Amino acid sequence: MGKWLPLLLLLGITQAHGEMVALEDDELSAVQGAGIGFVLDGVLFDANQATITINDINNANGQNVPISVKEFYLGATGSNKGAVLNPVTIGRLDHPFTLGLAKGEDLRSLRDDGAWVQTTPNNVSVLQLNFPERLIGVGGQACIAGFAAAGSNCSTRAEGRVDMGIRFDFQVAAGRTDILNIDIAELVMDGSYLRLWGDDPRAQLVGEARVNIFAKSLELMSCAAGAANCATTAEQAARTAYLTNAFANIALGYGKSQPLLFDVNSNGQFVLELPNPVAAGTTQAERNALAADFYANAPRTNLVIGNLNFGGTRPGYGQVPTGGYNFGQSEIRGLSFNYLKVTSRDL
Amino acid sequence: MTSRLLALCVMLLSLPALAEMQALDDETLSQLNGQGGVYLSGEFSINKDGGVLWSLPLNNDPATWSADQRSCATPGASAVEHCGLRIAVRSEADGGWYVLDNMKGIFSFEGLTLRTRTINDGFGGDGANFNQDVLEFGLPSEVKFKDGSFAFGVANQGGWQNSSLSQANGGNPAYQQTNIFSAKIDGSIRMQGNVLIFPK
Repeated sequence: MGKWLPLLLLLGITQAHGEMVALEDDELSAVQGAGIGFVLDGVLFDANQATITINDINNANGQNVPISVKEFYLGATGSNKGAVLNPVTIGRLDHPFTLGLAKGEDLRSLRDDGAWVQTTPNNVSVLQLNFPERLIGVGGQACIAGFAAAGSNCSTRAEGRVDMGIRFDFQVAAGRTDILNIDIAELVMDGSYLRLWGDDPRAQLVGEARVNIFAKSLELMSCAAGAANCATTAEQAARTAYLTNAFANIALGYGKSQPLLFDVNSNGQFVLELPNPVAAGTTQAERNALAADFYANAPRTNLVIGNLNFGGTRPGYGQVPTGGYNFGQSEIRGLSFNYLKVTSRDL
Repeated sequence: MTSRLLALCVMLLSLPALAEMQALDDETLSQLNGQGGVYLSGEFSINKDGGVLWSLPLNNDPATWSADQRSCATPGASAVEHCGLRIAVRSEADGGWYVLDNMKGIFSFEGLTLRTRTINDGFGGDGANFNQDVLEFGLPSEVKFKDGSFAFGVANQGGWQNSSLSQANGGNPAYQQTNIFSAKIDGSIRMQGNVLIFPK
């Protein structure tokens, strides 16, 4: 508020001799339409007291299979699977979430080799929602503590990591409920973004998305804690899959030649498509150029699970489980979609 | 802040006998601080008893409904249910529609706040460098839902039409809507914290 004082004084003083002056073109051109940044300060989310049911998912006989959503929480790291919820600040003031419009030629994406490349076409106005950015060089934080393979280019610090979880109870049939309980510890999603723009020739909304998920641990349990056969540590361990040091960089779309098309066709069916990147080329030389650009610059999808274990128990927080079945490390790296088309169909 | 305002009030009260109202000079004005911010708590209910578009039929069989009737009951349910608000968006010139259908329920919240805040410290050392004003949108600590519901689906027309009725009876057999999922929410959800908004 103190800032306003000099301004008010200044206004009071200058009123007598100054009037409004139009901005020159060169001054105007220096004004960049900037978006807004936002930080989630001390947030905590807990839907444990609510009854949430998901419907309209049917079985083969066309009967509704209700899914109850339980133990849905988000809080600071160290929550012990949601038992101790504390608020967490997501995003930093100098590396916040951002929402805004930008020109296609001004946007950059981080390629796997650490270079920033343009992936959006020129001369389009792109609406973008960015998660906290990734940093190259100074100030980079480990994306997963103690797991160098995940990189150290996250802007989120240790205290900004998130614990979250959700449990789905599928009421498959009378007397039978299947459970999927997900708990994620130290989740970071830096560098994720969604970019949307209008494609003139296609006359539709197109986009590009990058989803980065880094987690110290992710546990999938197939029973409700405390229920029959799911009370003791051994019983719970026998029904749990443990992912330790897991991360995924999912790249959907390369705006220049393979934008992500998500639309509904005129029959009222959902379509998700990544078109053939060389489709726009009319000559062999053009197609070669498009392909070369696509292979050089299109972001790749990586999926890495530092350790996968079924049925073991963790000796300590964030540690690789012992016992059970240890599947070691599994990786998918450098996956690139040449073409993808998914359409819904009524059953 | 309050004491300053109080002093001003006292001053104003004590003056009327001897002085008439005078405009404040710039310097005095510049010493006044507006005490900003809004604190909201409330309850609202949307489409609890349906909208104006459709009245409630007697059963859940679309073939028996009249042109102005529609029920949005959960698949397999026997009781009929009012339909809520519908939003349809088409993202392709000749394409189909994304539909957010049957939005209804009662929502109540306590302590939604909106104010500005100067941040010049804290935030793990980031605050001192940041040193500017932000808009602080304080989340209510608790949001209560009663019979809240919505459905997400895709359709080939923006407006809902009864595909079980012939066109002569006000329906459209070509109408196609697929609900991907629908949700019902009851009870209270804890949502605490602030969203800090600033230009970037």
